[in-house]
Amino acid sequence: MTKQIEEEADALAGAAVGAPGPQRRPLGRRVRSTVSAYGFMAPAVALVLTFFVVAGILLLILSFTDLQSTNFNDAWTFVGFDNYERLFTDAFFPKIARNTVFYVFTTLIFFNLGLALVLALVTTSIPRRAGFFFRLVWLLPRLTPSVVYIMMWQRIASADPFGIYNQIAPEFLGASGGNLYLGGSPWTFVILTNGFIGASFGMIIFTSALESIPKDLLTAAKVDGAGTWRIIRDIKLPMIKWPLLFIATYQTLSLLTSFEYILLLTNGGPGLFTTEVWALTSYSRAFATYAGNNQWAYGATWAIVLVAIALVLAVAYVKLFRFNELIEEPRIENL
Amino acid sequence: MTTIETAPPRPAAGPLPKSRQKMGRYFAYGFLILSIIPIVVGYAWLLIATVSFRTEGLLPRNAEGGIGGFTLSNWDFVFESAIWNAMVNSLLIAVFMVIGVGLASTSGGYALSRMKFAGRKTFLTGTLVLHAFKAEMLLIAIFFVLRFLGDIPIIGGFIGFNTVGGVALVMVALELPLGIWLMKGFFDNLSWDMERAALIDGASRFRVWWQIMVPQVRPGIAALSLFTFIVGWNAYLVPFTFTIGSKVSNMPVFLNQLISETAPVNWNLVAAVGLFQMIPLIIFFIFTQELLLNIYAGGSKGT
Amino acid sequence: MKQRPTRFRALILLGVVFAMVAAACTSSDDTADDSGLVTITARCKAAPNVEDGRCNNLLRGVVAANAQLAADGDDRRVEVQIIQDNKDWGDYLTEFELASSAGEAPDIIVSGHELIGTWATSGIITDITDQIGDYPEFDDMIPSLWASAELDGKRWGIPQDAEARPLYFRKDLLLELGWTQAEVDSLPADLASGAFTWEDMLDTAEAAVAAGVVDEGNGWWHRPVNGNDFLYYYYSAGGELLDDSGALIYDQAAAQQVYELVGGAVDRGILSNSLLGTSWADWNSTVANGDILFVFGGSWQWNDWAVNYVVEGGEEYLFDNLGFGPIPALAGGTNEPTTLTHPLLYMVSSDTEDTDLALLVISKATTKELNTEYALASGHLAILQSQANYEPYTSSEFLAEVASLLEYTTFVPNSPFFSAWSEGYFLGISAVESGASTPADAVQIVVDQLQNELGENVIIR
Repeated sequence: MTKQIEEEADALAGAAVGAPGPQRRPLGRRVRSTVSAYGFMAPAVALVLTFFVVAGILLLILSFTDLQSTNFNDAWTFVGFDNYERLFTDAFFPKIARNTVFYVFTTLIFFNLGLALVLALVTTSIPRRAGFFFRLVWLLPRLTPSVVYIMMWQRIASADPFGIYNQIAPEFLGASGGNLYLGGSPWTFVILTNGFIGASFGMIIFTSALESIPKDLLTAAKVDGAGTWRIIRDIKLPMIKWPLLFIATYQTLSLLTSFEYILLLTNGGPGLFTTEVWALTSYSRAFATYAGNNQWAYGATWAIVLVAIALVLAVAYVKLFRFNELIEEPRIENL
Repeated sequence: MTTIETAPPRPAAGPLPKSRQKMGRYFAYGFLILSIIPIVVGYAWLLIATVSFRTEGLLPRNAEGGIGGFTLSNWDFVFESAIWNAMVNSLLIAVFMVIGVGLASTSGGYALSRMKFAGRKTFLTGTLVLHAFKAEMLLIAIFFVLRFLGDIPIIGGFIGFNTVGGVALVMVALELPLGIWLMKGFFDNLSWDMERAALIDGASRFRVWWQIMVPQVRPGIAALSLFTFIVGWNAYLVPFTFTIGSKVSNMPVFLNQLISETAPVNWNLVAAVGLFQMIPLIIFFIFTQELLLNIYAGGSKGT
Repeated sequence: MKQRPTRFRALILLGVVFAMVAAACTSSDDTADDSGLVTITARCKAAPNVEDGRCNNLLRGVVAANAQLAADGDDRRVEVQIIQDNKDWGDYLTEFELASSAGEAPDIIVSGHELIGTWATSGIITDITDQIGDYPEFDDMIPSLWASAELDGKRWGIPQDAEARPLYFRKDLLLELGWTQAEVDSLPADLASGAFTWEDMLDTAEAAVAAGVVDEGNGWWHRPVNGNDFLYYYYSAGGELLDDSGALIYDQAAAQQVYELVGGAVDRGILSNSLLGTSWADWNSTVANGDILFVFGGSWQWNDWAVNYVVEGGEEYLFDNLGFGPIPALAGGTNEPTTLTHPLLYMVSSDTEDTDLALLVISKATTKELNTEYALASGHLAILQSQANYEPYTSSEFLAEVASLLEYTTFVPNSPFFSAWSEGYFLGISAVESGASTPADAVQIVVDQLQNELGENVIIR
């Protein structure tokens, strides 16, 4: 379908030349269309190439050196796979990997994807103004400076007499009086703090997708007596398949690489790496652990491994959900 | 497209009874109110903290340990010029980012949606995966790139290390993966009709894009602008790693100046400044609610 | 629809103009012009208002510097440009590293002394050992502070400020526990003489918890996040750190003693198992208002408590209720009282062409008048011997008394590996306190971590 549109477009663009039908695309027109496309892509490509691709390649090269602050101004020394070996022989590597998988998929399913979808569905089923209000409240965490946001959560989960939950919640709901995010359940609060931020992204995207479903379809179904659940299952979900897959992939990657809130809340603790995740380790090992003697090469190694994992996951999503269709054939109305 | 499964034959097909609809409404509201409780509680505390000397839980405490101790001294900073300078800088950065990211994403997204060219699929998958490169990790590589760019004659002075231009370029670049995917999605939803008509009339691709397609994805541009605006407004890491001193002194910098390990920190003041930093963003949202929430509506569907 | 493109275009134009104007405003400094005026740039990190003296004192020393040049018959004159803010520590240090690499380093940089390990090794700061003697102001420096500026027998910076980490104790709670006023008053002296040991402190704390004077877990507190403090535990336990080869030593016996100390305190109900990770705001609030019997704190916190946390009475309340002294002696270790100081130093970048002028400006900023002003404003200690008799300084009762701790102070080593060592060592403390591991196991875990992180740069004993 796309092919046909594009060929038609090429044909129209070169109409003055009196070209033959869409089946054959003379070289001239193909070149012109490619040149024109590159023109449109130029700013994006230039920036992405310079600051991502080149930077990425540099990082890859760096991961085979021992660059750090102490030898920053010397010529790079290549050390083969030493950095990688160091990374994989870290004693806590398995625990951190397990933590990361747990963290990413729990937060994704319960908040970034799950709750986001539920919120979108629910807020679009009530009057517009009301829906907007709830969505706005859910957006607040995302707007808040991270230091202040975590300060808020720490205050919610602190021990007596500072903790809000301990102050207002009844004891049978877990308000023991002690510190809830360190002594109580660190994972709960790590997932909550990240989830409340993460959910708003998907919520916005799903809301718009839902609001662009033609109203007649929904009215017709209601007139036929279809219940809410049936409408959701048969109309709404299928029509937002593309944003669903996009959010799933995008948020998986986001969660995989996010660490700032965990750093501020528990710093991977308490105790022995209880809530430590991969991205946090990579940041700590490379920078925080060496205050001043930045481990540039070692940090690059962690980044490269993380990107490799992200690539594998992205490919897996694409194959699993046949995402490919959506890259190959953009959704365009039937002509 | 999708088909609607018709309900199994029923004696009298008709819309659901009102009572069931009402129950559904109550459930919806109940669920939503429950869900925002933590947020409401948290921000209520934040507000209370900014107007009190100290708080225990949600209660402000005075010297005797009773409820009280209200003070507005934490908000004195609004009377000094420093925060307003920071706000202007934040605004400039955010606006620049919106324009830069908007332009690159809208033109790139259009091409990816409508045009066929070599490398299209690679670029799409690539930008999705690039999202996995966190800014912290890319820092050193970007430094080398900037240092190299700084050596280019003439323009080097504007885009190298320790230049505003360099920082601007990097910040725009880092937002492009998201921007390109979003705009592509928007363009995908537009119908082919107007474009075809214009091309038949002999218009160039560029004119078609600029005068016909772009206005139709206004909601998408507005939505992307808002996400980008937030990023620009809260930007901290990139501007400050690549400049010396606080050359690009915006609101996050102002907030950060208040936090120290070895000097007194007034956390209630930090809370107040943090809230203040959010206010323009909230106002922005309220004004653009229509546009933002239609992030996926194509223009032809009617906003 | 016509309006939109025009407005759009206007916005783009605005953005471009802004970018050009802003970029044009970035000027690079020339260090000298023809009239003999040399510009010295100085970079400092300082909390706004209270610590501004760090770089501002350099500005204020310019007049004296130029007068000195004139007196010496030198044709040159200096002016100083400062870049001072409260940038995040890590970003600040990275900035210097990147700027040096790009040839844009400032002439003078202020930093924690431990950076000498990294920066001297990478060659971006200057060895000033031989030039210090040229400036009489530096003779006034408290001798024990020079150790912080040394690496490989050379000196790399001039101390700018100092602090110390005292033991704070609640006088009112001790009295409640049954101590006499005389005993409370003599406690600082007993700490200094080694008569009141660490074990004594823990026993007292346990008694206080048992008597209900303090809640469980509130007998003894230390800082809630990792920091240089924990190093003096290791030193006190007899641990050595810096090896001649430049590697760091991890003494398992000393570390185990430390872990047993903190683990034991948690087991005895003196120390809370979830103290680590608490927010500073809550920690400060609890400590300042009298709920904790013994606190290992910092001299800079006194002022913070008086201003931000004490509910009523400010500094007077603190003097009435809070006493302080050195960290108690640890029996089975060095058996001597101790503390730790983390001075900031003025260092000279190796990029500069005017090392002598930079040092001249620094020397004129290192006077008892200027430094005292800074110390009083920011709650830091004296760095010059003459400040001990300088009225404005001695008028601050707290600062004058706490300065006596500098006698037995220790320092963090000037090693590029220290921070990694510290993270590993702290892992043990955190594991034992949270109950995740026994002291012996913790030592093994730390050994593995350190060997993985530092390889041949750590020596396990």
